[in-house]
Amino acid sequence: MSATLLRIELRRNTVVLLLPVLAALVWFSPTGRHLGTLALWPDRGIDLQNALQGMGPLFAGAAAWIAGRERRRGLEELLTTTPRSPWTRLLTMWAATTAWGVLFYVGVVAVVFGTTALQATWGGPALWPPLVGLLTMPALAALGFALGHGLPSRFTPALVAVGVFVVFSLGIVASHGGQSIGDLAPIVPSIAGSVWYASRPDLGLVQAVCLLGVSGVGLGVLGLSADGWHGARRVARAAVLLTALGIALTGASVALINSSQRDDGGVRVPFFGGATSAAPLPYVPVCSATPLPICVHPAYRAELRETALLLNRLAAPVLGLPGAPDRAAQQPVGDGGSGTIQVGQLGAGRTLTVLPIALHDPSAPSEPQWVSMMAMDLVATTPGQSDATFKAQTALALYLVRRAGEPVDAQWPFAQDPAVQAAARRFAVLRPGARQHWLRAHYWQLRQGNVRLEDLP
Amino acid sequence: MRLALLYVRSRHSARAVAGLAVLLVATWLWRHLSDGGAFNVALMITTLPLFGAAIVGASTGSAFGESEKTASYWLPILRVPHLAGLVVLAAAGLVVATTGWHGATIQWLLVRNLILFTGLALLTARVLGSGLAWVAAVGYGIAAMLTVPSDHIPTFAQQASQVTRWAWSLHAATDREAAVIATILLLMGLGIVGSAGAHDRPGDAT
Repeated sequence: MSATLLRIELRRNTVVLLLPVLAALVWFSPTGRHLGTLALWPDRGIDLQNALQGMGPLFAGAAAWIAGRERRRGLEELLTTTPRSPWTRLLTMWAATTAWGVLFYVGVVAVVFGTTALQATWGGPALWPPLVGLLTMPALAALGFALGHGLPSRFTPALVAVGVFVVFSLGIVASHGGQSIGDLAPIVPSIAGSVWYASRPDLGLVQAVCLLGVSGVGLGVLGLSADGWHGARRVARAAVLLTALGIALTGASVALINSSQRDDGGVRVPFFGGATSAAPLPYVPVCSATPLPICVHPAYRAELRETALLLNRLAAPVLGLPGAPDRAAQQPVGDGGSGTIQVGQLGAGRTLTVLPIALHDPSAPSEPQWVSMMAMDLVATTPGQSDATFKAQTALALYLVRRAGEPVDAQWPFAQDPAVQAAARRFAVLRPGARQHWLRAHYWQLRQGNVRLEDLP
Repeated sequence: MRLALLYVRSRHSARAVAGLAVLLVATWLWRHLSDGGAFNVALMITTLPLFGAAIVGASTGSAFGESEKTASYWLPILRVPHLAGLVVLAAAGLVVATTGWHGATIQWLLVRNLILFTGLALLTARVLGSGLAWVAAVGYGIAAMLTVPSDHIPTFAQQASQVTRWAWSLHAATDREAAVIATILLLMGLGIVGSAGAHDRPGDAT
């Protein structure tokens, strides 16, 4: 590969023209949108793989367009008179295209990790996602080159771009549907997005093997189609070898992923060994110095103050009563004992609450839902035994939410019931002394589900 | 008539029609393999019209380059019917392949998005050439898709009510703004490319 040729290819590469479009796609992808939210290293790593969903298809399409250049312009026969093999020329074009793609992706990684380093309060960067992303660029370029050179038409690049997008999207759909083959798509997170459990490298390894395989197949097929040169036999031998190696690697990755299982630590491939269960990560919780102390994982330190203020505002009327909670701690999902709190983003946006468990839980609640859940936890150890006792607990929880000045969740069961609303209003207008007296006498019974709506003052 | 046929041949229309036939088959297959979930419908109404729009956009290329502009015949009278005919063919394929599925809603979504993406592809063909006509349409389609969650919402109607305003390709079938913007883009694309042709460099239109 000649350095001069590579320099020319780098200068004249179509990907340069598309860099602003690629940047816009990254900006509009979850990667760009998440830069302003709570910074968790695992999530930001996953965002780097998500970025491929936007930029990958266009990059592959551009590669297909570049690969068809010689045939499109009728230069192939003329170029057979040059001393270099067609494969070498194509590999130089591929290397230049890949270099621009990799350079762009490195820029994205630098921005995302640089921003996260300034924002995050715990942990460090996960290396598998950017590594998978970096390996995706040569693989997409090789795929685009193989198709663009084999089918040199102005229709090909568009179809390659749309095709790659469909494959990526179907990979995500299959992965969410529990079909492990979908995990091979490079936009499927190679790590578990959890600050609680150590992430296994298994999926990253398998994805890397698959991407190397696709690169091998793409470049090998490119060599097989680059005929018409006097040294064609030697080139063909190398191309066949590369194609076979690529097929073997891709096949191995399919076999490995088909044997995998998923848990809190991500994907486990038995072939790689490793622990059968996810290993919890050690951490020292950070706690608020409030009447009701709130302790969260240090990765969520940025949200501790706001969460502590909200929970304390909510819990103020019941604090200190017999049976009332005296501490709240953030726990991972699956360990849902009493006292578990779910800390979310309660920022100015006040839109969707992102729980620490949200990556595993597709039904992440909105902020009003979260507040109503917290309020119910404050007045109910066990849900009411009957509608009447559950309504009593709901009326008290509704009182707590309104007193705290928080919006009431429209979907909250029984909260829209006129009798419950009337009871909450009656309770709110009691004299403070009478209210405290009633709570002191009945709070324990209320939490146990032994107080009916009619029993409320 | 002969002139029209020669023009159509010079635009590789046989390949374009073959591509549109593939689109019809792909749409039919998708319809039968789809679970009808919100994400699946969003993906379908994005990728299939993109496929059609990319074919129409690529068909703007002329094998003769600038020399064609010296022709004594007024070319818009050939260009516009050719491109409009391909859009109609693509739309017909999408409609036929989805007849009886999700009522008329999915058909209108597919056709509206075909119009939207084709408009973008034609405008891009004027700027980047026929070979890269797909860039803006594919970029926009993907950017719109990136604004929706992948599996949180059960029906497309619910999802359509939550998408970003500029993601017109994912708006509900009843959304007038999306329909108007799609129509404007297609008319602009047909007008501009119809009158001036795609901006191809020699060799790019093969």
